[in-house]
Amino acid sequence: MNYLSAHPKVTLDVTPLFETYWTGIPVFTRRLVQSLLWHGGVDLEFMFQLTRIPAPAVMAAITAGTGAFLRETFEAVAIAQPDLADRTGRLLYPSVKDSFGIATREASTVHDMSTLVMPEYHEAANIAYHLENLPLQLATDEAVFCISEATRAALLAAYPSAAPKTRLLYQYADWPDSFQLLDRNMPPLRLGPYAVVVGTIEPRKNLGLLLRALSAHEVRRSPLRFVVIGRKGWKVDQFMDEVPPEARKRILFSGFVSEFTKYRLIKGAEFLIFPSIYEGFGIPALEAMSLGKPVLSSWSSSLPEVVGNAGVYFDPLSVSDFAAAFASISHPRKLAELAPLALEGNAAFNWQRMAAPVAEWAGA
Amino acid sequence: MFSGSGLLVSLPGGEADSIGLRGSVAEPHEVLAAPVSPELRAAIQLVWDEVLRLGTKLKCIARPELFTEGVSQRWLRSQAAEFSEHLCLSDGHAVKPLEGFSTHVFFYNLGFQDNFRALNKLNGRAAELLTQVRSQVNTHFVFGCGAQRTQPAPLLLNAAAPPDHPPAALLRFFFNRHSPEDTANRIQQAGPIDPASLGGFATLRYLPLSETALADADFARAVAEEVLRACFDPATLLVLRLPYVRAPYGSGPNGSGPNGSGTPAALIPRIAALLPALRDSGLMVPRASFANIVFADHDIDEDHPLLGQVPLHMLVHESFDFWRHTIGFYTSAAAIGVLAATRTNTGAAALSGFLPFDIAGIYGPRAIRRWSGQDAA
Repeated sequence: MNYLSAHPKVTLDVTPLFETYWTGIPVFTRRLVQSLLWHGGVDLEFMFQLTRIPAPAVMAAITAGTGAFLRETFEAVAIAQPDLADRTGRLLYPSVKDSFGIATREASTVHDMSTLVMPEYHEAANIAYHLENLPLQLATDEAVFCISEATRAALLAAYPSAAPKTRLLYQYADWPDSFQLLDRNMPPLRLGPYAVVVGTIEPRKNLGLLLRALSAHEVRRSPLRFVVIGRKGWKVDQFMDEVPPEARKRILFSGFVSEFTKYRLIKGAEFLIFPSIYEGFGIPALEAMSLGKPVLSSWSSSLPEVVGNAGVYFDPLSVSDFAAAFASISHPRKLAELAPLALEGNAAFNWQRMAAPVAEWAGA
Repeated sequence: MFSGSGLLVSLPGGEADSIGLRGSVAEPHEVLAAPVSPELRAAIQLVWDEVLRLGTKLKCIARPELFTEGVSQRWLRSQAAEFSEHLCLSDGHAVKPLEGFSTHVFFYNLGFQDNFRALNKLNGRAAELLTQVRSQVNTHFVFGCGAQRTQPAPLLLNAAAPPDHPPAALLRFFFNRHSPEDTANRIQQAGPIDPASLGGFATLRYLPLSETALADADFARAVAEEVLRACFDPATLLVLRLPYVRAPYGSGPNGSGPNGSGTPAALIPRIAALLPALRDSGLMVPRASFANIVFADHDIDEDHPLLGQVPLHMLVHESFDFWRHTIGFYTSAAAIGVLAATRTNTGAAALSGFLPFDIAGIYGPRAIRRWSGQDAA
């Protein structure tokens, strides 16, 4: 307990926010910071490499949406006059823990178990980063936050002794308030009718299924194009070489785009396609739902947990199953039926729900 | 494990993508018709034969990790309602449980060093996962450490027929410790050897090599000693089965592929896998050809013309997939040695359980020398 406050103190590791471009875990960390601040039940401090980072610097980074300023702060202040994190309080890691048993009460966050169950989709260094210290991480944690029930189930399948420590930590989708106004003042997108795919282009995302399905009758006769948003990831060159010329006419690869461009592209789409073989949560599905877009989703891992009733599901390894689901969701009546369910489903994931398990752990 | 009403067999992720199945659940004949590695094909066939013999059912699932909970599990149940057992076919990189099913494991292809190392790492990183395995096919691994050490019950299955690969071609031994290219070129220039020309020997000594075996310094030393001894003992025919090599993990079927010997290009990576082990053994292997030392490009099977003429002495590493050979093959041997790091580990114990007679299980370099007759006194 802090002398100046009635609230318990939590020191949050903001290492992910030091990245220049925020997707995935940096965005999760940003949302965690904001939800805890809005909750107000804990005194939040920030650290990087066990060194305190001034809160104004973190807030400035969140406003700017990049970690460049945080790095400058760390270089300018923290190295010369290190102010170590308070080890008598609680340390919370929004992802992999890199120090163990520093504080008496520690917690970390498990996002997915793909490095354990599908190592063929990861480089050796990434596997080692996630797994080498995981037993120690679990052993020294007081609480282990899992970002979905599916991730919790996958974690406990491998580490059942961690069961009493695990808690759910659902995130939420959010967009800056300014996006709606900006979008209204921009000329409409001239892409024709399209469905959107969001995510790094890598094998685990299973974009190959969509490519193979292009020749299926249900997809071939559809007027939809496909816009793929995301940076190029592991093995992308091999994948792109396999994209046939006729597929390139129907698939538009946007590459990495700003959050605003992503917002516009999702908002203009008929629906989101989420063919992933494996996800820890599946935030693009929630982002689409927040804009009233249904999801054509693989039924794998965490995706049904997020998409709920707002989607049509398919076997991620079956072209024919995908094609049938595609035909189903493409029907205007189906889209109209699912759109309100998407908004409703998204509303169930909110900042209050994200903050609650951390506040509860902290004793707030 | 096979006594239930149905067995779901999950495929290793390293091969799942390249198989190109039509869905997440497939019939075994669909998998066997797909471009899987010969080792995976053999493992599936072995299990399927056993399931058929017992009159139960088998289905394959491409990725058990899909079925974490909820919708996906209900879907799986709709596809395999009466199934209760799950066998994870693993190349060592991952062992995947399947929620709601008892999980058993069948490790194969541990002769590839990358796979063998991956399994050791997995045991360090996720020992709890491995200690939950109910039984293991054809291995005797002990998982976990300390009080948590567990040895899942072994289930031994042996092949009913020899491996499905081309008859082993025999090639003249040559070894240039500095150059796999020169070694491969000279072997090629010498051309294949007619097995009929290899008569008149008193003993046949056979060593199937693998990346994992050669990475074991004790085994590599034993190989070098065998070569040196044969150099000075023209009555012994020494056959070294070249190690299989494969593409990097995750880049395609996690198996041996064609691994031919018809061109220097095919031979070079296999020689390159052998060369550092012999070079670093501390023994000097002459840069010369010998009439009684040959390479084989595939396993010598029980119907190979070399067998049956003279007593066969065989030395294998514990990572050897012994289950791919029939009992008839082993019973034709005069002596079998298995180099194992410990008595509880895989090869020696499993092979002992598999055969109707005791083998010369050997442990450590001193025992190798005794097996080789060096310090028989």
